[in-house]
Amino acid sequence: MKCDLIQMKIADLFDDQMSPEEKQEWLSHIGKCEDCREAYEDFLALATSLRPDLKISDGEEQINKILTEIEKERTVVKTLRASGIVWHRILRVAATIVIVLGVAAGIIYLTTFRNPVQAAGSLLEKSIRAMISLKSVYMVFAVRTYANENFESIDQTAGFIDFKIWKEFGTEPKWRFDKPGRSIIMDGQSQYQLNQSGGYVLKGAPEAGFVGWMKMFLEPMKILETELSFARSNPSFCTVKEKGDQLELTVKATAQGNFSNPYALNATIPEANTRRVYLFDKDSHMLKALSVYVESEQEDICVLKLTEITVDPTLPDSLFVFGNRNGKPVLTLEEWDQAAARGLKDISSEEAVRIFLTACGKNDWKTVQRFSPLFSLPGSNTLKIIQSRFAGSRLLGIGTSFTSGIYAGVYVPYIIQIKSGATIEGNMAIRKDNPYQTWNIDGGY
Amino acid sequence: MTEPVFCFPQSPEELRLFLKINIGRLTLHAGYLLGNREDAEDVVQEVIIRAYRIREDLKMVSNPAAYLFRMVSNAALDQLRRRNTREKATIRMKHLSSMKFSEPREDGLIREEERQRVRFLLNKLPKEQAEVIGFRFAADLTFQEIAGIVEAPVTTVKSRFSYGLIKLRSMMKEQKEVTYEM
Repeated sequence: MKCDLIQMKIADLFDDQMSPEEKQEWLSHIGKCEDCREAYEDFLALATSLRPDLKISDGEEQINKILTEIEKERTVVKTLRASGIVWHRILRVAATIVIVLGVAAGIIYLTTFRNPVQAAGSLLEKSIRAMISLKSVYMVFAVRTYANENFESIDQTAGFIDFKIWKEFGTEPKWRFDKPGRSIIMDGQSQYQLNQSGGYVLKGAPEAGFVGWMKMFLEPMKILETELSFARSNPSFCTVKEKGDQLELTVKATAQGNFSNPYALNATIPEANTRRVYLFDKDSHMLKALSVYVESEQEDICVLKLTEITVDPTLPDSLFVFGNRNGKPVLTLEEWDQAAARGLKDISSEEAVRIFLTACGKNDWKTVQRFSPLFSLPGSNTLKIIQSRFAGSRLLGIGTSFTSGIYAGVYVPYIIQIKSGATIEGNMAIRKDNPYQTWNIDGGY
Repeated sequence: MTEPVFCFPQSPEELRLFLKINIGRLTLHAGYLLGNREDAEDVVQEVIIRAYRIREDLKMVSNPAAYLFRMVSNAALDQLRRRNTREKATIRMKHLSSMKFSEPREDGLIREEERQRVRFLLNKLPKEQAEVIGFRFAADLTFQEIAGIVEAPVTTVKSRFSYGLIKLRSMMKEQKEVTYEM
């Protein structure tokens, strides 16, 4: 009669946790039982065959190699920070995505998770696992905005336009953002912003805030970390639901910034009350889609949709270089700052806007050009736009400046009468958070 | 994993200690999947550097070593998928050639053939069973460690291991009998 006792204990025999006494007892049986001995020897042979025939050292050399690579990365970041290149100024920079959420009611959680925090944690960990093995990714978003606006700007009344993002992961990540009128490229060393209507390519550090809030889409795992961190500290603010073969995560976020004056409310996604709905594949937990809705009392309006995500596409190197800049010069942020030095300072924001608009009315473009380096660049259309709107205009009044949302500067209300006789009211966006503290006009013209 | 580490290393010093414990087995595991040391080291290095870059995010991962094993698996399998068709065809041919034992070979070659034959049969097992056997024998992980990686109870891991190994032995025997008959 054949003995198959070993088959019941096979896992224990290969378990380091088995007590020496118990192991000895079994080895003793094996010594006496031919069937079990033969099976045990077969299993040992299988174990030997499955061990890779690799000469692995103590790993010291490999560890040093890894740590050297990591040190290189740290050094690059430190150098850039020390040089002051990492200075977000040109665009409204979405601060760290610390979103303050309102209390949501009627939350439904998957019953398969023991509690909401666990649900979120499990989702995050699996998503990170899915994402970390990524080599590259291609995403397409449809966003309600206008062509020449910043990447984070939205307008609920605008039509959808496509934002495309390509990202290549690696020790020197490369990526590209394209939308009509603007492109941002990170070539592994620097970011480059090409504004089709501008007369230049702006060069910034790897961490420059050229894409604003949209930057978080470059690290899919960051999106989840950001959103799910709420679930960890405020579990009632997110819901996770099972929908067929997908999981739906919904996060509600209230607008960031100070809205004692609501002018900038809903101007950008961070400055809007939003409901963000993520879809993940149920098995792999890979991000499949995202929709962002701006909430209102009447009807929620979808302002951003992730319409396509392709994992590990082959991306040509040419994608990450501006092959043809049409002769536009490359301007670094340092050079931009130096150009800002000739701006006006030690006056109020209202006075600065008064000087700017008065100069427009008098066709004094030299004075106008002192309000932004952008206005002086050869080939830039910006000055032409200002000239076409404000040349020969008459300033009727300047209001009291106010802050709104997360904008680093202030808004100054104005009323002018243009050459046609029509009256225009607006809010000039003006800031002085540059090293020279000179006034720079960002928009509102 | 032999020493409890509850958080992914947050500094180079912590990372060095963490790697001293884990890098050998991570590389063995990658080597088991990829078949050569150079590729294995590259994959392990890439995964660790990427993980370290997002170490803040990984603070909440309760078992970072298990997590890295899974990442190495994914990265290695991804690399395998990327290898070109010609290479795959060569590997298949190797497997086929390993099925024949008509000519005497030197010991080393026989061992290599045996290894390839076992790997070939291992791939015929259910994925869950093959995975556990690979982790136990190739990377020398304990059942508890494997349980952390595959997110299953230790008892389940042991069952998968036992059933897989018994089945593997059975397939080996069947094949040898067929070969001898030939």
